Order: sequence, then structure tokens, then C-alpha cells
Amino acid sequence: MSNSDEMLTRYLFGELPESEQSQLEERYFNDTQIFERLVQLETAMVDSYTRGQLSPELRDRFERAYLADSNRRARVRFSEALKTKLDLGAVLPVTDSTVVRPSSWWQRLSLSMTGTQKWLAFSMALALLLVSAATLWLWIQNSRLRQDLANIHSQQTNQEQHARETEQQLADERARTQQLSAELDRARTQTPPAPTAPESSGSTIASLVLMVSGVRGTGAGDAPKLIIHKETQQIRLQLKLKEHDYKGYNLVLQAVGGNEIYNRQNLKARITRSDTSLTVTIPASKIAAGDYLLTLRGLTAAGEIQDVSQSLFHVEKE
Amino acid sequence: MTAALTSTAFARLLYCFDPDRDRAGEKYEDLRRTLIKFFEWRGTPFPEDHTDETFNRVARKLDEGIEIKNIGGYCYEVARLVCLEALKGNDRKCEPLETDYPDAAQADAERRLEHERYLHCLEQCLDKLSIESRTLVIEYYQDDKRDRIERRRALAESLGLQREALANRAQRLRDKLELCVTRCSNRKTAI
Repeated sequence: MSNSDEMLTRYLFGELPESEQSQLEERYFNDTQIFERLVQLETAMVDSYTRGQLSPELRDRFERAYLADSNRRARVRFSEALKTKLDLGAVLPVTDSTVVRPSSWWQRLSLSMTGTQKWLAFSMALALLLVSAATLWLWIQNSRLRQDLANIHSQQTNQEQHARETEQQLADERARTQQLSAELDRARTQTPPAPTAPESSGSTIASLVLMVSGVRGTGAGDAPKLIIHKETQQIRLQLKLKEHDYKGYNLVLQAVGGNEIYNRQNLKARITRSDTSLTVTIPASKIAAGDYLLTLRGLTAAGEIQDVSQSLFHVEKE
Repeated sequence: MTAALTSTAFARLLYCFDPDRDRAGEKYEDLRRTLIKFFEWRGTPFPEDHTDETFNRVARKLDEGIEIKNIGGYCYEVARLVCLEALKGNDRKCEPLETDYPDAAQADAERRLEHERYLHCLEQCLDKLSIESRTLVIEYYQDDKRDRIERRRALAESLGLQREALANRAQRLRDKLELCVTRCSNRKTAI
């Protein structure tokens, strides 16, 4: 420490007599070089104190004189903080002819960290990245598994529901088949066929239900009988189909050994849950007592016409 | 009590430093820094307030028509008076406020907390500096004693500055940083 520095130090510690103190102050108020030197000496001394680099004698003076003031103690606190910050790692030396001017945020971040701090930061960042990736992967896998489980559960429920519905339909079909078989048996054995005749003599419509029996026969046993009363104005013929394989049907009614009475083209079958049938209504005036043959032909998707069935029935008039 | 300067009075004060407004502004800032340090070294409690008070008084003298040839010297004379008044006032106010002094453990804990606070503020204040300024401060004040001279020489060379100019620039940046940190810490303490 030079004599001049010693004097400046004494000033900083308040150890100069008032006259010398004033002289120095006048000088540094008018000479910025002296002022800057004084400021830098103070900074160097504070930093040396913070780093424990002052001689015991100087340290003693420093603590006694300099640290008596709260503003100066704050300067020491700042120096300690700066020391901690700097000790965390060495800054890259500036060796280029210009100061590095980083443009990206990454470069700025990188420059703000140094040495060990940078290494630690990169390690932490890498670890964080790995943990994040693993967490994301697990989350995706978990979501997929949950989705699969939900799908399987949904499929099981649907299958069970479908099985229940199928069983129910099967049971309904069996019951209907039994009922129809019973009706058919009854129709064949009864004279006149009870299900086909109008129940009431006062009805204006007479109905006859015929089961489609195929083209090779007109049905075993006696032909169904249709009774037409005086009041009957319309006759409704209903053909129940065992199968429905055609896009349309042609229906021809003719008296046995006589002329064609009724011809209807491109009839559409009526399909319900219980059966499939064709229904036509014919004026009663066209039908005389006697035997009749009802011929059903089917229209295929290719436009071909095929015979489906022939039904024989007997008409009586009262 | 320090009263704010009117814009007219401030303009007149600036003119006293230099007829050119930009140069006057620079000289005003230099003298303000000198005054703050002066009050600090003299141990007055509120260096910035006393500096403002000094400028106010000088401005009032200018209002009164007094011609000032050496603004630095005149300010110093006024500052001495302000300093004496402040120290007198401070002596009167220096009644002991606390009779219960904290024990060593408590003082140590408070010291650690204070250090954490300063570190936190330092990070914040460093972020406010430009990247060039931050790099310069950190590079210049590295404690690597063996390499310090060589590093500072290389730094001055890279910036195209004389060693003295580099030292002044680093010191000014440090002062700015220190002021920011001290204010930040005081705000946190107040909270």
C-alpha cells in the first residue's frame, strides 16, 4: 500500500484530522481521478475483508471504524452476496476483441451461469427431462390401458345384451311358431275353417288367411272355406309367407277351371316382428261360390319371376 | 425536509454545469455520485437525501442570483454544512432504541436470512443489467487473485479500453448494482 493509499484508507476509516480530511475532499470534488481511486480502494478493501484477505491490523481498523456505519455494513453485505455469486462458478473469460452478445435465450441463460453451476443446471435439466418423459410415457400407457378396459367392458355388455335379445327373439319365434301351427291345424280340421270366415254376419269384410304352402301342392286336407254373406262387400285375402326372398310379388286369383278374376303386380310384403305377409282386398261382387286358386309369384332382384305358391280355397255364399 | 426542484430551477442548475444539456446531465450525475459517496464516508444516515438537499440549496442560491463559477467546489461547501446539520441531528436522534440485544444464535440466524435476501436481490438486479454489463461485472470482480491482473488486462483489451477506464466502468456498474440490491433488500425488510 502506497503512502497515498494509506492516506485514502485513513480517510475511509475516518482517521484523518479534519483539516486533511477537508483537503482531500476538496481535491476529489474537483478531480474525478482521485475520487475514482478512492471509490475503487474502498471496494477493494471491502472485498478483501469479505474474503478474509485483510491483514489483522487492517481488519481490526476496518471493523472498528468502517463497520460502525449502517450504510457501510450494507456495502459489506452486498460484497458478501457478490462473492457467493461469483464463487458458485467461474465465468467464461472474455478473450474476443468484442464482448459476446448472445442473441438467443439459451445463450443468455448459458452465460448467466458458470462452471459448476452450469454443470449442475444441465444435469438437473437432463434429469427433469427424463423424469418428464417417463411420466408422460406412463400416463399415455395408463390412458391406453384404461381405454382398452373400457372398450372390453363395453363389448361384453353389448354381447350380453345381444345374447339376451336373441334369446328373447328365439323364444318369441318359438311361441309364434307353435301358435301358428296350432292355428293351421285348427284351420285344417275345422269345417268351415273358423279363422277365415267372417265372425259376424253383419260384417262388410270377409277375411281369409292362407299359409303359403309351395308350388307343388295346394295344401293337405280340405281346402279352406270362405263364407260370403249378403252384406259382405269386400274380401280380404292374407297370405302368410314362410320366407321372404323377393323384392316384389305378383298375385293371381282365378276360379278353378275358369277365368282370372284378380291380378295384382309388384306387391310388397308387409314385414312385422312376428311374420311376413301379403294382403289384398277384392270386391265381393267379383267372387262367386266355388273353388278358387290363388297363385303367388316372386320377383327376384335380377328381374326374374318365379312361382312361389298356389293356394286352393272354397267360397260359399249365403 | 427536502423539497423537489422545479423544472426551471433544475434547468438553471444544469446550465451551471455546462451550457450543453447532455454534457451538463453527465456532469450532474458525476457530481451527484460524488456527493452521495461524500455523505456515506462522512457517516450521515441518508446520503441520497442529503445530496438532494445540497442541490436544492445550490439551486436556491442560483435563484437568488448568485453566480457560481466552480459548481463542484460550491456544492462541496454546501454539502459540508448539510453534513454537519445531519450529523448533529443524528446525534440528537441517537437514543438507544433497543434494550434487549439479540443473542449470538439469533444474530447468526438473522445474518443468514439477510444474506439470503441479498443474494435473492442480487439475482434480480443482475437480471436487470444488460448481458454485456452483467458479464463485465462478474468477469471483473472474479477473485482469482493470480489471474486477476491478466484477466482484467484481457477484458480491457477485448473492450478496447484503458485499464483505468475499464476500472471506472466496472465500478460504476457495481455501484448501480449495489444500489439496486440495497433498495431491493430494504423493500423486503419493510414488507
